Amino acid sequence: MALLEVRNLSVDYLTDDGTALHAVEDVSFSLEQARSLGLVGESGCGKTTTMLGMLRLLPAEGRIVSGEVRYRSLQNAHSPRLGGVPREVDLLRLSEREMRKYRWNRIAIVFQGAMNALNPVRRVGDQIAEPIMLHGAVDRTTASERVVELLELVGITPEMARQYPHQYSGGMRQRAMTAMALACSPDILIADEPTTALDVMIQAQILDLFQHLQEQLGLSIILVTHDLGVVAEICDDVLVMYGGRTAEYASVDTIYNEPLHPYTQRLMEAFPDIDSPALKTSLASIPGYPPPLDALPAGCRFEPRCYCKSDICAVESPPLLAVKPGHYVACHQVRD
Amino acid sequence: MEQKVRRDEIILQVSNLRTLFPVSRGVVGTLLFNPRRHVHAVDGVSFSVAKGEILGLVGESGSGKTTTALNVLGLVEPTEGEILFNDQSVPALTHSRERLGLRRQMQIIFQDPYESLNPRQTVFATVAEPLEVHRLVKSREEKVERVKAALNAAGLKPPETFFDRYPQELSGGQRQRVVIAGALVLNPQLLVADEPVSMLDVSIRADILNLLHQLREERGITILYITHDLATAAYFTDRVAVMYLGRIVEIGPTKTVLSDPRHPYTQALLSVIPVPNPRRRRKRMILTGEIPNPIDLPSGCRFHPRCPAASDQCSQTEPQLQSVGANHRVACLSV
Repeated sequence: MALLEVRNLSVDYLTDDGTALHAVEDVSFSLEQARSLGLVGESGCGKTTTMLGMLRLLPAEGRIVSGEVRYRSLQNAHSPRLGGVPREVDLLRLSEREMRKYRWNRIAIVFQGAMNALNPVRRVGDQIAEPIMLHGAVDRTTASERVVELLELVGITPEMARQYPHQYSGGMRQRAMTAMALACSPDILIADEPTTALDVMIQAQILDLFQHLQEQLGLSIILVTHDLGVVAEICDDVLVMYGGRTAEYASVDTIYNEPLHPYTQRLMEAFPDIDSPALKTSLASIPGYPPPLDALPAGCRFEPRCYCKSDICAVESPPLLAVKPGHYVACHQVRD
Repeated sequence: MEQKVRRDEIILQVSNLRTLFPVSRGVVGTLLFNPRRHVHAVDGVSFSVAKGEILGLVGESGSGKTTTALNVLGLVEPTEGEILFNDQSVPALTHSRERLGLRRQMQIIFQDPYESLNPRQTVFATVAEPLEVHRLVKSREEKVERVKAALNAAGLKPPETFFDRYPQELSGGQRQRVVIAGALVLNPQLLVADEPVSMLDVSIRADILNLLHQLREERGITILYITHDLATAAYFTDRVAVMYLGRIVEIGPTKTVLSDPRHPYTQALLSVIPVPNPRRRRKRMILTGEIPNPIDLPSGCRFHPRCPAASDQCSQTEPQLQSVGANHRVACLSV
């Protein structure tokens, strides 16, 4: 079994008048050790909600409606660090107290814009030491040794631990946040839009860091992003989400070279490719906007924007089918 | 595309532009008569833009691209150098009325449509405001007509339905269109677009870039496109100027620069552009570190501490822009 397996996860948000908005519906994927998964889609398609649901960090209005999040521990079942947790668990069935042994310890997340969330009046090193002391129950000296180790891992010189966040550039802050997420040696790192506000060169440095961490620590990575270029560079598998549902799920090579879902195809065309033989004079765009959660289309979520729809698309939601082993598509137009 | 650019008609001419910002010495430093130090934001930049041309200014943060644009717009006073817009000197215009007249002809679109719009102003009020500032309309009807035309041109159709809406009711792409409408309402000749799509989703980016391109095609608006992303610049600029630490290191027609980059910095920038295909993953030429502090500039070539091809000479001699082909100039000693 895979390291992490999410099965049929659905998340609702409740509005003030009690209506349930379906933010995520029936999303499934699995993640093997030392592999990386790209979660792709436009703003508001449910990428971040899926991650928050998985970690049970949803805001008060959020409800997990159904699903399983099966996590298989790589460590010895009676490892003292985990306090003797069973090898395989469903994170959604755990008590909040048990859940804490997994969250941040086994699965860490760097939120979108987290590099702006560093406390401006505390030294960066002290901020990284905090979760180590909290989760590892170690003293300050051990914690600072670990901080130095972590900073080196992400390419920050130990002297910089004594500096404040404003003395760091955007790229350095992103590195510091990654160091903080790695503090408890997790198996899985979730990075939500880690490079969105960064320059291309700094983005390349951060992607390089992720690949390096993956090789060195055997880390599994879930990359949440709307940037297809970033995904193509470092991911092994890709899950394309649209309107809270899975549109297409396959290996990175299949998604980029044989995309079957019209949405995936359109996304590819909208992405600038400077190496394409004939540099197009204009980029393709996807007319229209993603559906708002309070007005989701009855049938296929992409139907209003789709260019190859038929009558059935407006009334019936397409099931996610395997067209080939490991290639899943939810589209009425795709058969076999 | 090319024939729309009238090469003979230069709309903007920038020569030897330098902009230094003084660094505070502090009380002690002042008392000790420590030498005053400066941030060299722009340090010897020259270029010209033809009427109807789209020029891309490309570089990392701290390369001086935004300061250059602010100089051009007369929003930041340059320390040295000359900027001619339609043969009129921009920095020399001290009289506020003359400046106002000039500003009407050049407008800027900022990066973040979430922050550049007043959340308490309706779309109509936002787009109509420049008309009031410049006293361009005499009647309410005229104002409504011009706002309508601007919203239409920015692709917000039908325009009336947007009049009473507030920014929070709009998507990111729509907000950026409102910003563009606010610039278009004055019928400017020059549009400075400072990272207009970097905060937007990929699917919407294309829309905005295509809109800018269309404005050039239909109205002949000259565009100065500022970005850190060579990939989007590749799609719709005629020429690109790559900047590093306040200087232009390479300038030329976009196709030439992309297919035959000569400066190691341009080569590195090109190599790190994500390729949207895993089969073509390539070796990224990742530069270590970041742009150095523009207070203490490296000696010789500014890029030499990060340059993979630096030789001894590079730390001593500062390279000048030299022609390497048709309209293609590079500042590198090894070229």
